[in-house]
Amino acid sequence: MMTLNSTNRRLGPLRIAAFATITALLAGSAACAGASSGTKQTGTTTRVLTIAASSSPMNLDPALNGNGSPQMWFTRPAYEAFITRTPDGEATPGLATEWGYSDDRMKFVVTLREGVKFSDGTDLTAEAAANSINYWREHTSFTQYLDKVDTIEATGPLEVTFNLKTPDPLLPWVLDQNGQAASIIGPAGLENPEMLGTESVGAGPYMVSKSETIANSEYVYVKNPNYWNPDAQHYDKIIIKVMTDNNAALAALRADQVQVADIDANSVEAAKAAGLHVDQATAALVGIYLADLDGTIVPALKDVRVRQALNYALDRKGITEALYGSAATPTTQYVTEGVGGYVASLEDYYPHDPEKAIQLLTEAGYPDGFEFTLAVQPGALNQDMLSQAVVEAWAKIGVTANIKSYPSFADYAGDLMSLAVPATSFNYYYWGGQLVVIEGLFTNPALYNFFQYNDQPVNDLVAKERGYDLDSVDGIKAAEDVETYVVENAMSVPVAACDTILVSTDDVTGTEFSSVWPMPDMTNYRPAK
Amino acid sequence: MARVILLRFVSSVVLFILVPTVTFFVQTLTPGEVARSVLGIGATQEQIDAFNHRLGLDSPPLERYFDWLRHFSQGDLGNSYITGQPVSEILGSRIGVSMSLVIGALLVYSAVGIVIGVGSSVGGRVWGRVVDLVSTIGIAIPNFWLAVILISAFAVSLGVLPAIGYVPLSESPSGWLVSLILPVVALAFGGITSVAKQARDRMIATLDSPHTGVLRANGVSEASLVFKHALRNSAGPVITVLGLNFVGALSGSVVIENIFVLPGLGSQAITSTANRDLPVIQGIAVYFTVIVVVVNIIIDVIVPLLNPKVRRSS
Repeated sequence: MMTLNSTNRRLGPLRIAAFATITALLAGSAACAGASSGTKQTGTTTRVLTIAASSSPMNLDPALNGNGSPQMWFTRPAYEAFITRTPDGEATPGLATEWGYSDDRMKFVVTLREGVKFSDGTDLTAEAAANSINYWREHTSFTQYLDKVDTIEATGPLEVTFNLKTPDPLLPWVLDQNGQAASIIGPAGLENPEMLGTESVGAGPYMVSKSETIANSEYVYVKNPNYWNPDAQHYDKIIIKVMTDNNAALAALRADQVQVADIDANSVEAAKAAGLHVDQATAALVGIYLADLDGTIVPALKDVRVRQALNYALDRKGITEALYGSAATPTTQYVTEGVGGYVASLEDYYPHDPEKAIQLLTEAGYPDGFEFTLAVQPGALNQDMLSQAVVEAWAKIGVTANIKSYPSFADYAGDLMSLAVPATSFNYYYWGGQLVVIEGLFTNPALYNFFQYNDQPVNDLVAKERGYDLDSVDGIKAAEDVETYVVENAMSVPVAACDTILVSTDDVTGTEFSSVWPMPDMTNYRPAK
Repeated sequence: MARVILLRFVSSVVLFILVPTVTFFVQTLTPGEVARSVLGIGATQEQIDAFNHRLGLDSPPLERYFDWLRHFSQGDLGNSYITGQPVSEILGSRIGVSMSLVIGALLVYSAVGIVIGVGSSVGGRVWGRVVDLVSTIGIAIPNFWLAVILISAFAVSLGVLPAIGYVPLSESPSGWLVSLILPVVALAFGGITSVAKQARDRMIATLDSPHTGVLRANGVSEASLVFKHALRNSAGPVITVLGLNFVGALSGSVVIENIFVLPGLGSQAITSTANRDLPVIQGIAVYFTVIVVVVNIIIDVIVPLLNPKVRRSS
């Protein structure tokens, strides 16, 4: 029965061929349509720069956005700051033409450029600028950037004065395009801050095209018709696509759909092999931040010998090569070569020495080690893998660190703030020199110092450092003193200095940047042809 | 028929309330604050309190839930915590992308799957083995892997199709089609194999049935048996599989949208969940529920139309 029916239902080769032909036609028609339209896509006359960013912005409002790359990229086109840093870190005029400290360093006075307008056509005035910075100060989470400032006021039609509570040499950095405090928002934006999440009211070369922008996917910027320096508008349109997948970004670069992308260390060799242009410079410190230095929940961490043991336990060279390849350098200090405060002799202050680590633990009264929880910061620079590697190394000296991962940054931050974890992986950008890093990690207050421990020698040394310009001889000496203290006292566990990596096609130039100011700025990019 | 559709609508109302409700409480009871996500580690408690107060997040969860429900009943899905944009505006700009992708995949795996399934059912044992093998491979291949291979082959090596991105239909119909080819194929591949196998199995069962034997004995041509009788009889189960695949493609689209950088609902779902942007997550849950309900209603309408036995029983 079965055999008979099977035989009978055969339609023969001709009909089978008909089915195959129909299938092929269906597929073929789609492919043909695709191929012809694909050519048309590239035939555009406007100059468009398309950038792939590895993450979304926190917000398009400069006060609520993060800094560093790629966060800064999303606000930079629309908002110009007082000071514009060149790729090698030089401070050049932006919205401000002059700036400087008073003789007693208790005032910082800025003179604004004449004739500048916001994208909505209103004039830039000192009052508008002061209001914008005060708005930023009130809403930003980078409160430490302006916590040495008492008041900010308009002291002339184009003069803004910062009255300080204590000297602060960081202001020329805080007021640059990455600091974003002085990424001035126009009065219309301050009157209606809700709009700043989807639109822009800045004095930058471009402005957000609300109708073309799709939040968290694609951000489109068009020329600001009121920009004070039209010669610096090298493109008609800038598109930033959020591409969290490095492989997708590389494919888009190779297919010429994207001209610039930030990628991680794992993709550098693939990018080079594909013939793409790679720019990289040391940009960020990664390591383990020991938050509970007072030993509130893990008493062992209060003992400097224990912290030194945690440092000696690591084979930084091995970890760095395995996780970051050629895109990082092992280090035991907090700034990189070329930045004030760097001390060559501190670069390998804690060589890999597990026996010494065990000896220090024994001397501290922990011969059998101890146990604590290590939070892993979600996000960039392989911090999950870094934490795994560090935990394995610590296990060899008897210290048990239990990794705690988080599905989102909100979960992570909530856990830190509730003082539930004594240590976390971290990364910190070198922007602003050593003082920014130290004030972010070790002073009280500091961004990461959520246990609010008070290390008076650090506070005193940093107070002294604040009395000098960062790049002065005295300023550099003071920074070196701070660096020496925090490294010798093993206040945390630095592991590697990682590069920011930018990949670009040969359609674009001007993508270079340096470790002094490792913040790629797309307003420097130009069409190659 | 009308009764079936009416019953579907009634159960849909329950779903429309149940799904966002579960989503709300799961999100609300999970640790983590949206304020930290927006304001960062360094935010002061005052800033966090002000943020929570401005968005009403300092109210008890039940109060917030009923407030959301009241607005929802008036067609208002609220505003994003992160950008302040109305949720309907955020999702409205993305629904077209996701629907283009998922409906495109539906068309591809329906057409190709049915053709292969029907062809193999009349092609004998060898064709049957081929379909079985291809089905197994198709189910085993992850769509994200296939997506990467397709990009590498057609965008990078051959350069005939774009690697990423989406062109709106209103901007360029041909560009829209081109931008969808690779993602649609990647999403449809697994569906093709399951549809082909289902179509083949149903066709074989129908062609082997006594009813078909009688028709054959009465001199009905083989082509008429296949296309007029067997195909129609097999359509019900195949359409049910198509519907299931459609719902599966909705979840699969989350990954595909991410790889091809398509601004659809799936990629928004990932970002909003990470940011604890509850109004947007709620909105996506509502949109997905609507889509699933509509698909089910369409299946409930089509299957009885094709099969008189089902029509009579319903």
